[in-house]
Amino acid sequence: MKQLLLVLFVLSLTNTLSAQENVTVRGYVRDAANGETLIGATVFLEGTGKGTTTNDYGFYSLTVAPGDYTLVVTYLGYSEARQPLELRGNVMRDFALGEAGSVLAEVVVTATDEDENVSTVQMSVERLDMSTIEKLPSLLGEVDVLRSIQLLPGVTSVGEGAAGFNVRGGSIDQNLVILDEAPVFNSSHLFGFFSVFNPDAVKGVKLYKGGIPARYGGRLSSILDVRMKEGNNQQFEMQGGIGTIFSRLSVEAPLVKDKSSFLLAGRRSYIDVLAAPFLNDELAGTRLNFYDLTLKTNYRFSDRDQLFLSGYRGRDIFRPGGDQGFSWGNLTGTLRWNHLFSDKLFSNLTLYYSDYDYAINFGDRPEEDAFNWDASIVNLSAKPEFSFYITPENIVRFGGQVIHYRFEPANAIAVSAGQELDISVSRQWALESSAYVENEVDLFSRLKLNYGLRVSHFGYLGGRNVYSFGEPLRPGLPRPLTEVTATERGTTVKDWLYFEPRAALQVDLSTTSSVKASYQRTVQYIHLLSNTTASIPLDIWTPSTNNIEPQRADQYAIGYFRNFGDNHYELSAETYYKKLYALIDYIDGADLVLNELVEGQVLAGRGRAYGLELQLKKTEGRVSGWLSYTLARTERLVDGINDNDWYPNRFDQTHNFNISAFYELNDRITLSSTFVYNTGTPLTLANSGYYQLGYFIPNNAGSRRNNFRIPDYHRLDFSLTLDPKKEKSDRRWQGQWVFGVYNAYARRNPFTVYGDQVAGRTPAGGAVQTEAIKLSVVGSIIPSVSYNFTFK
Amino acid sequence: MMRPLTLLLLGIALVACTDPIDLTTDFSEPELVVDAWITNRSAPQTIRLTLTQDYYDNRPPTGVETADVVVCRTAPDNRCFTFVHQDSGRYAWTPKAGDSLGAPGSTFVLGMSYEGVNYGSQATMYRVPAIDSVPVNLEENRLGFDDGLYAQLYARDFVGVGDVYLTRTTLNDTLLNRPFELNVIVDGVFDFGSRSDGLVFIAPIRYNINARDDDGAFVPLKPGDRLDTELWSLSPEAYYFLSVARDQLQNGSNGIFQIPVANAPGNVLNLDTEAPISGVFNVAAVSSYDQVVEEP
Repeated sequence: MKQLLLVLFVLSLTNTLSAQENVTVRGYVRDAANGETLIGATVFLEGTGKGTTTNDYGFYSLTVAPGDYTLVVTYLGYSEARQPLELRGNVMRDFALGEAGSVLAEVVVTATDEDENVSTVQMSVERLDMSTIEKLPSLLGEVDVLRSIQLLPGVTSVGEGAAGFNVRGGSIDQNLVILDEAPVFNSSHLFGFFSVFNPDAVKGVKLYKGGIPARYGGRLSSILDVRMKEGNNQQFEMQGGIGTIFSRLSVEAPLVKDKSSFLLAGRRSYIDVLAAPFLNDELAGTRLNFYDLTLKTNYRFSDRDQLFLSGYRGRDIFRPGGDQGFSWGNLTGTLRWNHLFSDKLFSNLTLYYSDYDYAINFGDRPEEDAFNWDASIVNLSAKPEFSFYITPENIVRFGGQVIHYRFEPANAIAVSAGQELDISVSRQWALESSAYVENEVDLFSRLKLNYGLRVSHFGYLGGRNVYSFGEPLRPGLPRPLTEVTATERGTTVKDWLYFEPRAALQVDLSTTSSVKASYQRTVQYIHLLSNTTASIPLDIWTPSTNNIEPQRADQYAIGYFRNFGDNHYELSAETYYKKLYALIDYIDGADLVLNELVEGQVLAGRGRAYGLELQLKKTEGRVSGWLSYTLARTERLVDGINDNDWYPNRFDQTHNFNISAFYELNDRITLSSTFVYNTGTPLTLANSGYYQLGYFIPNNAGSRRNNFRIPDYHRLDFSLTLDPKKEKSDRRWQGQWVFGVYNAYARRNPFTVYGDQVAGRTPAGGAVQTEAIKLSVVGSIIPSVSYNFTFK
Repeated sequence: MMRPLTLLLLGIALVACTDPIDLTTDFSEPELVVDAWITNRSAPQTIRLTLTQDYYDNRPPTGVETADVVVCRTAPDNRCFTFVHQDSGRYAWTPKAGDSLGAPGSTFVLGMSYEGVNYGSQATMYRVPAIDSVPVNLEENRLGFDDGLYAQLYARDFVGVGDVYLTRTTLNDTLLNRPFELNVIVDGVFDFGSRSDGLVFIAPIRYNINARDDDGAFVPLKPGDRLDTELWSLSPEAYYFLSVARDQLQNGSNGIFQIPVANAPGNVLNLDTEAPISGVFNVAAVSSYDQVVEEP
C-alpha cells in the first residue's frame, strides 16, 4: 500500500520536474449552437502525437514544450476545429464546434473520439448520447434512458416492467445511478416501465461495468453517470412533445449570453386526466399520475470559475379515490463549483442532497381505522475532486467524499377501532467517507495505465436500539434476538475501513487494435432490502450494521478492441470474472418492511459472475448501429439455501443477443429497429403440494432454488422518425413525428411462470384444482405515435 | 401490516396477460404429511395423515391408513387421547359430552408410528380472546368493496407480544379455504415486525372473514346467510408455518413482484433423523360466533 503511494508520488514528481519549463494550453470545448460543453472531445497538437480529451465539464489542459503547433479539436458529428498556436507561455483557448454539415451525422453511435474504443485505457464502459437514445424504438414511444442501456452487452433486466437493471450479474441495488452527481435511489416511474429521467434534460449517459476508476465507488457492480444539459446559453429554445404516456415541455435560454443559462424541463403522465370522466363513486377523484421536473442553471464567473446548480423532483402518485393510496419519488439537488487552481489543476467541488421517499395512507374513516406510513432515505454529501494535468501522458486525479445518510424505514401509525398505535421502525444514521488517488500514464508510447486506490470508511452511527442476534435453530430460520443495547446519537456503533485498489492497462497492438485489462475491488455499504422478483417502490434501504456486513466484490476483465473501415467499425470482446462477498439474502418467509428486527432475517452469501461480451458497432454512414452478444452466468451460495450448493441468480441469462440498427433513408426519415433475444431466467417452482387445514400448500420437494427456466425472450421493435423538411430548417418551429411498433410480432414473452390454484370453490374434502400459468407483461403488439417539437 | 397494501398496488392496471401452460415437474417421491390442527372444542377431533403429491395432479390426497396416532396432555396433568382411523387417512378422537382436550396453558405431545418409523411433536395450547361481535354492515362507495353487506370480526388482542390467531369461517356450511381467505393474525395485525400489541384487530383483518370470489374480491353477504366464525389460537411454530404458507398461496397474484418459492416449515419430526416432515401439530383454544345475516 505505502509502496504504491510512493511509486505514485515519485512518478508524478519526475514528470512534474521534467515538465517545469513546459507551457500549457487549456480551455473548454462547446457546441457552437447552444453552448453545451462537449464531453470527451479530442484535443491534440497535430503531428506531435500529443493530445487529450475533454473531461466531464468539457475542460482540457495540454502541457508541452514551447513551440509552434496546430491545435486540432474533433468530436464525432461535429466539424473539426483547427487553430495555429505559437506556444510560448500558458494560453487559454476555448472552442465552439459546429455540427457537421450532413444531417446524416445526427445518428452517432458514440459521439466521441473516433478511435476512442481502441486508444483509451478505459474498458467496460458504454456511452450513449441522447441523439442515439432518441432514435431507438421505445415502449409506447417514450424515449427512455434506462431501457436503452439494456440493449448494451452485459446489461440485463429480470423482465419487462421490472425496475432497475442488472450489470454483469449484479443485483439492481449494486448500480450507482447518479444524476449530476446526486444518487437516484429509484430510477423508475410506474414500477419499472419508464425511467425517471426526462430525455429533454439529459445530455448523455455513461455506464461503467468494469474497470471503474478509483474516483467512483459505493456500489459493487456499476456506475451509471447521467449528465444533464446545461441549458442553451446562446438563444432561447423550447422543446416538447406529446406522447402516449407523457407530455413534455422544456425551456432553456441564456440568462447572460455566453455566461449563464438555465434549463427547466417537466413531464407529466396524463392517463388520469383521460380516465377521469369514466371514474365515479368511490373512484371519483382518483389521482394516478407520475411527473418529473428538472432544473439546471449555471454561471461562468471567469474562465477559471463556474457554478452549476441542478435540481430534480419526480413523483409517482396512485391515489384511487380521495386521499387513500401511495406516492413515491426522488428529490435531488446538486451544487457544483469548477475552479482552476492553475492551468493544469482543475477542481470540482460537489455538494448534493438526495432523498427518496414514499408515503402510504389508507382508511376512508381515518379516525376509526387508518394506516399511515412514510419512509425515506436522505443523504447529504460533499465531494471535492482534483485533476492535475501534468503532461498529456500523465494525469493525476485525487479527491474524496463524505456522505451522511439518514434512513427512515417507517414512520407509521395504525389506527384500529379508534385506537392509535405507533408502529414506526427506528431511524438509522451512517457516515461514509472515502479518499482516492488515481494516476493515468502513457508509457513507452504504446502502453497506458490507470491505477489508483480508493480508501473507504463507513460508520454505522448510534441513536437507536442496536440488536444482537443468536444462531438460528436451523440455517434459514430467523435468528433469535439476544440483546438490545440503547445507543447515543453521534457515537459509532460499528465501522469498517476498506482499501479498494483499481487498475486498468491498455497496450496498443497497432493504431487500430489494442488489448486492455482491468481489476477492481468495490465495496458497498448500503443495501436495498428486496426479495421480490421485480423490486417494489416500497423496498427500503439499510446501512451496513452490526448484523449486516458491507458487500464486497473483485472483478477481473480482459478485452480485445479493434477498429476497422476507417474507424467506422468498432469491435470489442471482453471477458470478466467477478467474485462477490457478503451478498444480501433472506430467510424463507422474510418480513422486510415495517420490521424493527429485520436484521435477524438477513443472510449473507457469496456470489460469482462471469461472462463474455462481444460487440460490433458501425458508427457512421447511412446505416449504423450495433450488434451485441453476451454469454454469462451469475450464481450465489448461501448457507441454508439450495442445500448449501451454488444456484443461479433470478436474473441469470445464459445468452443475450441484440441488434440495434439505424437507417437514414433520406434527409427526413430515419428508420430504426431493435431485436432482442435472451435465455429465459431461472425461477423456483413448486413441484409438489399437500393438504393442510383444507388448503393445498405448495411445496418444493428437494428444496432446489431456481431449478426451472422460463421460456426464452425475444422481441422485435421498429421506429420511424420523420424530421421536418430541409428547406424548412430555418423555421423557428420544428416538428418531428415518431411512429413506433413495440413487440412487432406480438409475442407473449413470459415474465414468470407459477403454479396457481384455479378459480372456483373446492367442495369439502375435494381436490383443489391447480394449473401452471405463464405471465406476460406485454401481451400484444404496441403501436405508438408521438410528436416532438423545438421552438427557437 | 403490509400485505393488503401490496396487493392493491399489484392489482393496478398492469397490461399483463396470463396463459395456462403444461408443466412437467420433477416430483417423484411422495412423503408423509401430518394435518393435525386440533382444538379444545367438545366435538370430534381429526388428524389426517396423507402423502405429498405432484402439484399438478389435481386429485384428493392419498390417505395413510395404517399408522398409530396418539395425543397426550402433559400439563397440567397426564392424559392420552387415542386417535382411531376412520377413512382415507382420517384419525379421530371423539370426546364425551362436555369433555375436551383441555384449557389454554395445557401442553401436548403428538406421537405417531408408521411403517416402523416414529414421529413426534409437541404443542402448547395458547390463549384466545373472545369474539366481541361480528356486525354485518352495508358498505357503499368504499374502495375495494362492491356495494353490499359485509361482516367484520371484532376482537381485541391480548396485551403481551406474541399472540397469534387464525380465523375459520363457515358460510352456509362451506368452509372458506381459498388462498385469500387464509386469515392469520399477529397481535391484531398481519406480521410480527410491526410490534403492535393489544389492538382491536385492524380493519383488513376484520373484513378478511368474508368470502372471496374468483378474482380475490370480497363477496357480499345476503340476508339469510348463515355465518359461523371461529377464532383459533396458534403456537408460534404453527404461525410461522401459516405465514409462509399464506405468502406462497397468494404468491401467484403478485405478478412481477413474486417472492421466492419457500417451503412452510413443519413442526413434526421424524424421531430417528430429527428432520421435520410436512405439516403441523397445533392444539387451538377456540372462541366462536354464529349468526344468520339479517335484512339491513
